[in-house]
Amino acid sequence: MGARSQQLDDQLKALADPTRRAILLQLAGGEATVGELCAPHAMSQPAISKHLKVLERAGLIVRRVDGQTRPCALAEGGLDTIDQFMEPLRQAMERRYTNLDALLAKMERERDDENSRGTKAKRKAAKKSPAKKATQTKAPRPNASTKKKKGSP
Amino acid sequence: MKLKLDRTGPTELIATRLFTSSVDLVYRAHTEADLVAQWMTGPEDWEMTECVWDAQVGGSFRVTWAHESEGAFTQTGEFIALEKNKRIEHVERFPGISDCDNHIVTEFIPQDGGTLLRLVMSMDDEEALTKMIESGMAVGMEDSYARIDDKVAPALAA
Repeated sequence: MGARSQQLDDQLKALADPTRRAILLQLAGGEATVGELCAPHAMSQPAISKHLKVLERAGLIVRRVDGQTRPCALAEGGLDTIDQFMEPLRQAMERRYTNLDALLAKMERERDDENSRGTKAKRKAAKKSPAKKATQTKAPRPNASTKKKKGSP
Repeated sequence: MKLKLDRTGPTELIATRLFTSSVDLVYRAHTEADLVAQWMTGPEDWEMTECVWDAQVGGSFRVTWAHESEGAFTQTGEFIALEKNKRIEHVERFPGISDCDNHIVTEFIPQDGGTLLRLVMSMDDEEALTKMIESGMAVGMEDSYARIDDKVAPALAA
């Protein structure tokens, strides 16, 4: 875990709070002062300032000096780290849907076969399907793979 | 078309994915237990050992994946509403990993003879976003951390 992972941790922690998420949403509408950010919440200004510090440290917001006030704004690209964090989730979902592609292709072939029995049997296509066979819904499937893989977290 | 995953709010994700098959087949693959069991696989080297899938209003589901040395994890949920070939609304969670409910609306949209699948996933719990990511990672955990360190971190450093 390097500095980037630390930043990710900071950002996830920063987002795991409803007040801070509300602040981010408010800032999505444009720059705001601490007073303006306090208004929608039943919270003291120091409490809100504390939240702002967490958001600032996580790189999600920036603050500038404007006379007596320090208006806050969303940090440009501040949420990129989290977006990147979504990539494993996206890939996991995509992997399932790739399975589904194969299953759908098989279902289509079966339907075609039923519609025109014998005439359009494309046997070679059957080989292509990487979908693992699971005929029973409650029984364990045999281990299809014995490949060694390092432990999951 | 590859899956597109967007964060549309602090606690909301929208996923879209195009399939070449028609909506009736895609819908069946989401509602018939023996079909679901064929594509809803877990992480690599994890085997699905249980797939109870009662896709009707008020029905529940329970899917378990097991690994020979890493143990097992389960996903449970309930179906809230189903509109054949159009829409499924359900909640899901990973007991023991995250008890936060992920509320999911799945839409089956006809497009060019195929199907555009659109999932709106929303969470309302305080830590739900974090938990959602962790839950999703559970499904894709095979090398998620390695991937973050190996791919995402360099990309961020660039």
